[in-house]
Amino acid sequence: MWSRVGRIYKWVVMPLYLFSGTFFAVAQLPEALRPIVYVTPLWHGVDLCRSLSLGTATWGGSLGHVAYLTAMGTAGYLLARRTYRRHLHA
Amino acid sequence: MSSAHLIVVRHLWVLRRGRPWGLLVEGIFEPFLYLLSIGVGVGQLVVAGPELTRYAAFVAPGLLATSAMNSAVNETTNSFWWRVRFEKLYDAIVTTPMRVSDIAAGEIAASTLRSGLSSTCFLLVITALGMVRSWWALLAVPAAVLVAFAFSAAGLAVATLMRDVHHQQYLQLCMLPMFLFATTFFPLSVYPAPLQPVVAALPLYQSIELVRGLTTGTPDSGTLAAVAYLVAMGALGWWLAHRRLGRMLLT
Repeated sequence: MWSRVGRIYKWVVMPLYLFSGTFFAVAQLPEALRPIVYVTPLWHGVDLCRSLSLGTATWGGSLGHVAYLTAMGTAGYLLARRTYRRHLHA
Repeated sequence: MSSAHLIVVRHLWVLRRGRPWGLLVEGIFEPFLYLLSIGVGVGQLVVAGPELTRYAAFVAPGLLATSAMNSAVNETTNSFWWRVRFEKLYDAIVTTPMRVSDIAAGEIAASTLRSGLSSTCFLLVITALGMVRSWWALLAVPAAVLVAFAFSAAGLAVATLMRDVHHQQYLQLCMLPMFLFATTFFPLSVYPAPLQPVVAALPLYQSIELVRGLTTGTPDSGTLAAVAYLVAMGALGWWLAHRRLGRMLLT
């Protein structure tokens, strides 16, 4: 169980953290990789916060990010509810 | 006669059905990601053109020393700690002709072996990427082994002091800032003068100093000082770990 938590951190969280436009612009990445970054959740979070704090936010972009993150949260909640129910009420 | 090598044999035996490549990929993966993200990605922001490879070549040895450190500290404060606290493996071992000194030496050797191996693989990766500047880099292999030894011994000593799972968090509280500030990504000269000795006293700084001097081909007196520092740190950690283990297992 412990090692699985560590593995998620290492193989999922770390790459997201380092390549979601956190430290350098996504535009610096090879063209082929950019679409992958655009579907990762952290990029939406980073871009939302960055555009808002730098004052470069657009309504369309920000609402898109918000919609993505809301959808992700909702999907996670529904999935968690399903598995919790299965584990606790089975 | 010392039977410390039996600890190494025991670990190899436990891992005999494991995948050695998996172990190495685990060791290389994280520094490689940092190298691409900071070395190349951020490197493009701070320097332009041909200078970029110089920045990446500056960051690479820092990550090499860090990977030796992380792997040694993980091996001792996670794997060893688990065995000594919960599996009670060593309580069983001390009832055999093996002595506490054998256990300490064997554990340090096993951890050094593993960390040294994965750092050597990372050295091959950065050499293939053209981030190694000199034949001195051949000495970076024993240097990485020395770094692994110093942190394995210190990690073993720390592991004997940890009682609870949440003590791992305190350890991370030291390790992460040290990784970020021990000149991994920028030189010591960016710090104000009064802070420089503080940073220079960090074990990771000394490790990076040693490895960087070799891979960039500019070893100097600082390199030798780093060797002395790491040998002393390893010896101190070894002595402390031996003492503490004796108290834990024999009383």
